[in-house]
Amino acid sequence: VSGAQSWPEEVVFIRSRGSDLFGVLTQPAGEPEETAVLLLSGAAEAASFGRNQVRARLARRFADLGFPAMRVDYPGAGESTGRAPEARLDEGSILPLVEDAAAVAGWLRERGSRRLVVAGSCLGSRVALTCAGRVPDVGGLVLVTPPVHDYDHRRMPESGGPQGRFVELMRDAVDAGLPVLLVYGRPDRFATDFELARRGELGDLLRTAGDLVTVAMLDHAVYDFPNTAGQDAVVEAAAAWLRTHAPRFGRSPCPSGQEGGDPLLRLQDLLDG
Amino acid sequence: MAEQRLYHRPALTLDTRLRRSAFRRLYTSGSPVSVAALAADAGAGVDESRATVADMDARGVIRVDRDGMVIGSWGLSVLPDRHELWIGERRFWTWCAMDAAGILGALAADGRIRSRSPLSGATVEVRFRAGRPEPTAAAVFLAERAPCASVYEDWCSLVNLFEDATAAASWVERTGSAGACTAMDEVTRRAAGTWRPLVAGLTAAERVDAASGLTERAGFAGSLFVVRYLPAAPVGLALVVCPPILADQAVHYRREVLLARALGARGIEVVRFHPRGTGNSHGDPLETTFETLVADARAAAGLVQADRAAFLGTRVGALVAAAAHPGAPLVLWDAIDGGDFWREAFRARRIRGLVDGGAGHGGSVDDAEAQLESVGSVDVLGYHVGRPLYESVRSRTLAGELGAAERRLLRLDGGGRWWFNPDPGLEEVQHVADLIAAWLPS
Repeated sequence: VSGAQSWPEEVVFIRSRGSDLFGVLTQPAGEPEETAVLLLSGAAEAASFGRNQVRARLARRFADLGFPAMRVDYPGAGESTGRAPEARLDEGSILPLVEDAAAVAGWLRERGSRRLVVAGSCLGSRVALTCAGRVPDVGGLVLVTPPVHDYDHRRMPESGGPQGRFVELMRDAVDAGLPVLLVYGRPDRFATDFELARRGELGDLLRTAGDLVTVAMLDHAVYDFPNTAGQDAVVEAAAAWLRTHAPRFGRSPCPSGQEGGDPLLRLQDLLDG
Repeated sequence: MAEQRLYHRPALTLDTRLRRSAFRRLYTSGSPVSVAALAADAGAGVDESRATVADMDARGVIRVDRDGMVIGSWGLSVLPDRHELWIGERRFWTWCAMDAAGILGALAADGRIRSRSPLSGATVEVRFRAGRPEPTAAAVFLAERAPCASVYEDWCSLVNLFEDATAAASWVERTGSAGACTAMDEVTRRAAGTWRPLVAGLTAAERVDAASGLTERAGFAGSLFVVRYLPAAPVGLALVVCPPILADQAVHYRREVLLARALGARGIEVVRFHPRGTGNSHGDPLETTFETLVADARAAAGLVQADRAAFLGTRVGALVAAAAHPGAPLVLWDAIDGGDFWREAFRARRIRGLVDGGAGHGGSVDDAEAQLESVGSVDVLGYHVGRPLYESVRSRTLAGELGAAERRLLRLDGGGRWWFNPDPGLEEVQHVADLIAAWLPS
């Protein structure tokens, strides 16, 4: 009955747009940071834990760094109710999923989180990017293989694709001062598209953004997490980025402002003697 | 290497493991807990644990009775103490007022705290709904952190509930205690964060389907992720669903969820689970074997409320279902023998390697087997497969697992229709649910 979970995890159903969204919240062992991480999957994934539990491992890694991390099944996927989203990247398809993300963010806020890092893969990365400025308290983004074109999953061209809002959304995030991690796998077509886009307006934006945007180009394929080496590399890259930005996302100063001491924030120290 | 893959958490210190386990057992059982039980949870020796518990008792971070049983941890007590804590209809006590607020907040529970004001001796009661205090003038005095010999004696004794902030201020003036008076909702909000890791997994998430009245309860049974489907009008039968493994699990996942709901709506109780090292469950996939798959299926079956249970297994899950409970009625869906399963999986791995130009895959079946032999694990379509799983499944056959015992069997062979349709239509699921419901013994 007790002590058997390697990481403390809590399951929850959250109501959004008439569906019950299923989520798993992984908690740090000690006092949690006030920033939580929301993990969003790709369109092709059966459930939010991901292939070979990659997203569960990501959540657990973030929790080890002190950040609560919530993975959520989209409507119609995994344990959630409702109808599955269209695997499309136009705004009309993405915005309902942003609404779902906002519902989860609201739940996390009620549980004490004050900021949110949204981390998504493929479709989830575009949902995450669209959350910036639309979901309150988004403080950072981890985007794994974000497509730069607005593909329709069922009609993907050999290369390129319809021009979409990726650069515009990236600009909004940069203008809002959000740190962003972009992760690509060199063998993936999305990486090729990204490199091509980088020669134009996107490249200018990334140069302007400076340290705010980090690009991790991994040697392994990452799209749909087809191999374990790529999965491990993504977990490491995201954890390293979060560690780097920990001062920004870390615990806020003592709310009451008194020196030496908010006893609540120091309870763990006290009990540890 | 395994640590990099993050299946194992870096070990917490022994005292933290013992206190954490004590809290969870005290909450779950409502009774004193033996050090031997805590030692087993913590994976430590009894003597070492006894010494650690004694040290923690002296520091006032755990409470032990005269018989050596643990009665309190992380502020929660199963014997009367300073503050009375009602969690729903269950009564506990706490060492300080903040403990009570934090525990209720973390559990998001209905309940109440009853305490005595140190100033007037009057009873102060605060009611909670869904982990939040109802509007109240009551306030908590939070003593400043300072080094102390005993947390329980020296710090917790100062952190009390007052009828209001004025009363708290009067008491501070009288006693000269250093600290801050804090409103109940603020104390709860902040303290809940401390207790959340401790209560995680102790409660299940629940949803009720408006149309059928089916209750769906998802949570953890130890390290296993389990979803139970409890019908509004149960017919006294249950089905335990043994999922397939590796990439098959993802392919068939949604179908199993929808099937469970459809059967639940027909009055059949269903239990689904994720074997250890897969899905939402905990554990290392490299330690998974056929035997652990069967053990997990039996653990899930142990949660069944109905008198009679049948098993359903898909692909390799069919072999697991057959082995889990000899003689029990069995639904086999696209069952596959172990040897054929690995041949298929390695062939798919080879094809993927050829398509991707060797991006992490490729190699013949012989190559995969050689890697399992030499390295102990192999990547099969993005899944870690350990030699123990490979070897323990390879020689299993459906005929072998069924054995000679007589049992009711329903065999479903969906073939390619399911294989290429991971998002099955509701109509198809309803059809299969009808088949199974009609077949189950009445």
